[in-house]
Amino acid sequence: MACHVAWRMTLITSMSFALTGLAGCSSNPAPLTSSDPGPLATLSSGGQVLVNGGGIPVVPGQAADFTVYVVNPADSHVELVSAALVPVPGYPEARFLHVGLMLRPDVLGAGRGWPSGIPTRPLTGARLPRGQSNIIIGITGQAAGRNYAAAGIRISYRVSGRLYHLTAWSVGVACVRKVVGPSYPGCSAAVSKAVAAVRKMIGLPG
Amino acid sequence: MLVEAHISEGINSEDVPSQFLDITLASAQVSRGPFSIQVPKSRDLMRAERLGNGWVNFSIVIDSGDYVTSQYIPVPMASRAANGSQPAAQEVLGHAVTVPHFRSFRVMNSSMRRILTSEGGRPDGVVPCEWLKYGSQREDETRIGEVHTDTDSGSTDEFKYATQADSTITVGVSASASSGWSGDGSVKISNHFGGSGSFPNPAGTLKYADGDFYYQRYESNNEPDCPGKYMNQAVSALGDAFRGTNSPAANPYGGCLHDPHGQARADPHGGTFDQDRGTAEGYSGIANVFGFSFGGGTGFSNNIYQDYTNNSNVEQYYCGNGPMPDVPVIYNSSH
Repeated sequence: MACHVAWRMTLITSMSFALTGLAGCSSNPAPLTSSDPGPLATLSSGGQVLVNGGGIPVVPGQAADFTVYVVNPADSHVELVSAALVPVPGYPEARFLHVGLMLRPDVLGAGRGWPSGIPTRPLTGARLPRGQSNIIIGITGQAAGRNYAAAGIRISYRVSGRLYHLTAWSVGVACVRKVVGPSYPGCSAAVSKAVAAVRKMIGLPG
Repeated sequence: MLVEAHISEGINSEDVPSQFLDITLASAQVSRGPFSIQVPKSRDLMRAERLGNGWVNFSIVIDSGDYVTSQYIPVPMASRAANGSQPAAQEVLGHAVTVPHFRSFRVMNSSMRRILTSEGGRPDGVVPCEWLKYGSQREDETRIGEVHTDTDSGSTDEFKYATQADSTITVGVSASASSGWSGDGSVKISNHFGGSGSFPNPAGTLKYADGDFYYQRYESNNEPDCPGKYMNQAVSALGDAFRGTNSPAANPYGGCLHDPHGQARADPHGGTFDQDRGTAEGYSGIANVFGFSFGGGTGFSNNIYQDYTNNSNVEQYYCGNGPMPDVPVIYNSSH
């Protein structure tokens, strides 16, 4: 006998619960109840916000390029309006040099200079289809020896004429140095610290 | 049908319980069609939630005529169990969780049939199952991920396994203490030690990432609703992480250039790419202890990071079996 049972467990109160569902030899699991995730979301996995990070040594004023990830869970088109940098607590605020929508699935973990070598189109007016879209940002700073960071970008966008604002979390650190040489271990550590600071800022566990 | 809480007792210094009690919280007669079972708030339920760091490992037993099936399933009951996971938080707040399919019904043993008959078929006549520690605990290296680092000199990766690394690992039951194990759902293992591990990996690394877990066998009092005479389960995680000895499969695309999902680039001379993901790769054979091959069904942790740094002279590329960066395994141009 190869019967299976699938059911749904429903909590009735904070500590008491009930099991509801279908018993029998073949039944499908009931879908998980979920609230409306909204028209655009920062990248998540299994519902958990993901905070990716990137960092690279650059000379003063040179672009450090990273990727910010957003997801459109609906079929309706999302039209991007603008983007602004979100600072990281404890880090000098970076200067926002460039932003664009990537035209290929490739992403930039950490790039130096502009153009980045990955095809893009202007962010303003860009329409996001269903699924993940990748936005490239270029940031920099002027003082050699300092690490300029962004926690992500605040995106303004429209759906069916209504304006929304979303913060997409993805950490970028421009490690500004007098010269760019073979090895900068301090930049990697700066990225880890900035990611930890952002996770704390948005209430994620360390 | 019985709904029980799988409650640990007598925890030693290595976080290994001396026994488990599967305490009945609710029972009901179920026929075809929709059903609902009310489970009241109780001291046992609250104790299980407290011991499980916000999680309760339930044991669900279904008797049907001469047949029975069962499974263990972890359920988040308190907000701290969610640990940043939105689905878990929704289960806590929204009071709903989907239970996986049960394994096939098996023939009920004579003892269980006798008791059910004497109780007029009422499932609440079944005495709770009690599991007593059988033999010594065993510490075993358990697979929690894998590391691929490009062969170019200066290309490195650091694998980070963070605190609060709750793991979901299958449970084995058998009529014998040494063989014949079969899976009976899974339980949530909390990292009570609060440890976190990380390890650096030089260029050319192609190895699994392991962590230490304790495993323990338990012998039941053979009450009818026990899913087996013996139970074999992971009971605690040390929260460490280190490079394993075995090698995983290399990049199936032969290189990131041919990966249809795209690739991520890190420029030379210090480009750093820190990848975050919600779940690690699930493996069917994460550890083999006391003759049972354990598996991890839903990933191992909410907090696994891999930090790639490119101190080589050329661009490095990273890719996976889905859109970057949320992939369970990150490959590179070498492997």
